[in-house]
Amino acid sequence: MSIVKLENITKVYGFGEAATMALEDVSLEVKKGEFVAIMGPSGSGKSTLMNMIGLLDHPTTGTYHLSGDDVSAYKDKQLAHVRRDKIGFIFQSFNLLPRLNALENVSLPLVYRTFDKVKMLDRAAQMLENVGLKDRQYYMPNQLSGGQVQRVAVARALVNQPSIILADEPTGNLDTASSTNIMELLVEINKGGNTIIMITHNPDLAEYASRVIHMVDGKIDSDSATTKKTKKKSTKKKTKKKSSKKKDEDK
Amino acid sequence: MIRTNIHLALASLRASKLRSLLTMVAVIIGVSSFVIVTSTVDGLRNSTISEINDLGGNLVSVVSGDVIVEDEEGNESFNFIAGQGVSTITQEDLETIQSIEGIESVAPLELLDGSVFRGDQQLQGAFIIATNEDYPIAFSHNVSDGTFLMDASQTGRFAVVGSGVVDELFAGELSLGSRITVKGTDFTVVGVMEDQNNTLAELFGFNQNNSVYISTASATELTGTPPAFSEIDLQLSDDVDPNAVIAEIEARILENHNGEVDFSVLKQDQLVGLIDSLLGTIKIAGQFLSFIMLFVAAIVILLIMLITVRERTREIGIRKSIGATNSNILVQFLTEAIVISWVGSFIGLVLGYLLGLIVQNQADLTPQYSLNTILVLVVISTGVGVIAGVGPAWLAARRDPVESLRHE
Repeated sequence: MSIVKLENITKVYGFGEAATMALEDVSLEVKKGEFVAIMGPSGSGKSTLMNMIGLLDHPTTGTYHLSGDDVSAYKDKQLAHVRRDKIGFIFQSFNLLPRLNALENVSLPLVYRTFDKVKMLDRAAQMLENVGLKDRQYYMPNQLSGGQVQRVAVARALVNQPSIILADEPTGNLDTASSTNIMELLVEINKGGNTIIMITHNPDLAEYASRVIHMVDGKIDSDSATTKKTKKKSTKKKTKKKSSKKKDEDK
Repeated sequence: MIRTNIHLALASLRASKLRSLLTMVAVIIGVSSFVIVTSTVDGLRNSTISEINDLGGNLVSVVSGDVIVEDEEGNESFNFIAGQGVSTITQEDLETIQSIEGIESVAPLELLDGSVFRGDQQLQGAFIIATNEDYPIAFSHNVSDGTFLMDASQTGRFAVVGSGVVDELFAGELSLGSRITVKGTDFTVVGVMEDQNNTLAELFGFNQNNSVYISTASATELTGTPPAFSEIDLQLSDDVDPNAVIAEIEARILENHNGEVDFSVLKQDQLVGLIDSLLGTIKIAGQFLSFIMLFVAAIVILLIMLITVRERTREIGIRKSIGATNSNILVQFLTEAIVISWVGSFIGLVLGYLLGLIVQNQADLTPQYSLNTILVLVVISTGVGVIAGVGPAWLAARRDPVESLRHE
């Protein structure tokens, strides 16, 4: 069954002469358990596509089925509820709330459900443990390294047990060692059955995915499965050397 | 959810303490002035009314001017200006009242303008009151030394002085028989009045203890004109029907005045009403100023909330991306505005109470605090928060998530 099914999605920004077409007749299907990397130059529409899938933006035309439901006509409130229940976001700039500690940040998506507070913090703590930050629960974001902050963000994306995880350049602000770390975490999450859609500039990182989509000028240019096993080993070797050097910095 | 929001709001107040305090300054001033005005006026009312009640339940005042205004529903209010003209209460009225049965004491009051000296030393803030020997009974105000005025018919130029006069002119040591000069004429001091506090009178600059009492006969000699009493105060006997006596007084004086209603007969409950009406006006005027301040407070919080919403655009984007609805965001920022107003009001309440302690110390007045004031404050401060918060919160709720996430 496809989790994401976009049909003939078009997104136009602005009006008349100034109108720009960010997405042009994009159709895309993502099945449960896939790890999709979306690549393309800036302005190719990959972020718009991501926002569309994440229900942060409305398409101008076209239909979108998310786990079988037609969400194209949903109102703001329904969209918020779908984001709350089915989608987990991971951002390039982490986007933790600076005034909340790691545990509170992770539990944030649960705040918008009717959820028992103790249960909520329990689950958030479990998520932090899963990403290896059990002993950093009460740290504020500015007391954590970039890699740790992004792992908190991953925990936050997972805490509502979403159907899909959307990662927009999740390693764009990280050093290589931390990047590898995060990518391996994502692969592991994907192995656990989660669907991941990730935007990246970096062809090396795209190789962690099971499928790579290239976008150009608001259209899908190519869509192919990766031969990940062979290529991944070689990249891993390179990064492993660097990771041992930077290990201390990460901590 | 609400608790989480309140917790969040408090956290963001703590995050920038100076800014929060400055935001709340106007609320603090508004609320503390509201508290101080309400509590002092209520305290003043209490003490004044208990002073009136101390005079006993049978006090009746005949005053110049038709000061009672009655509306169609029978509610009474007071026209203070009506009593400000040249007094219409005459010696004839006094004698008329004295001839009516069922009255225990009748004391006229005439205020004279003039100076009081002992030798070359002038009494500051002097009041010259012409009255008769019934004054101590009518006003429950007795001499602490000597006697009050002799018989009204005596023209021996005797004076009785308040304790303040003794302090000021005689350095606290007065021997009866000393001489003072009232309006240029020598008087022999035959008595000293008990110390008396009248908070309301003092508030208007009138210190009863600085009074010099002379007989109405002496007053007529000094002024050369027949007396015009500002009021005649009388105590009814216990065994008469007060309404019947009052009706008779009204009828007889009306006769004296040829049917002209240029006087009023006030019972004790009407005196209380008079005080209530006067203090009510002062209270409303004071509270009105506090409300203006609180309105300013709402605008200040509104401005800061607008800045806050702008600064936290990214937070709004993050929250929306993880599932906050527009109303979640609205409630969050609205709660924050209300919490600012609540915290400010609480500080204002405490400050108002502390200022009340200072008033109590300085002005010999006990401010009166009521649960009502606090309930009114809860409503007002919530109102200020809502007025201040609803606009910015609505703007926050309507922020587009994609643009908010891009906001630096």
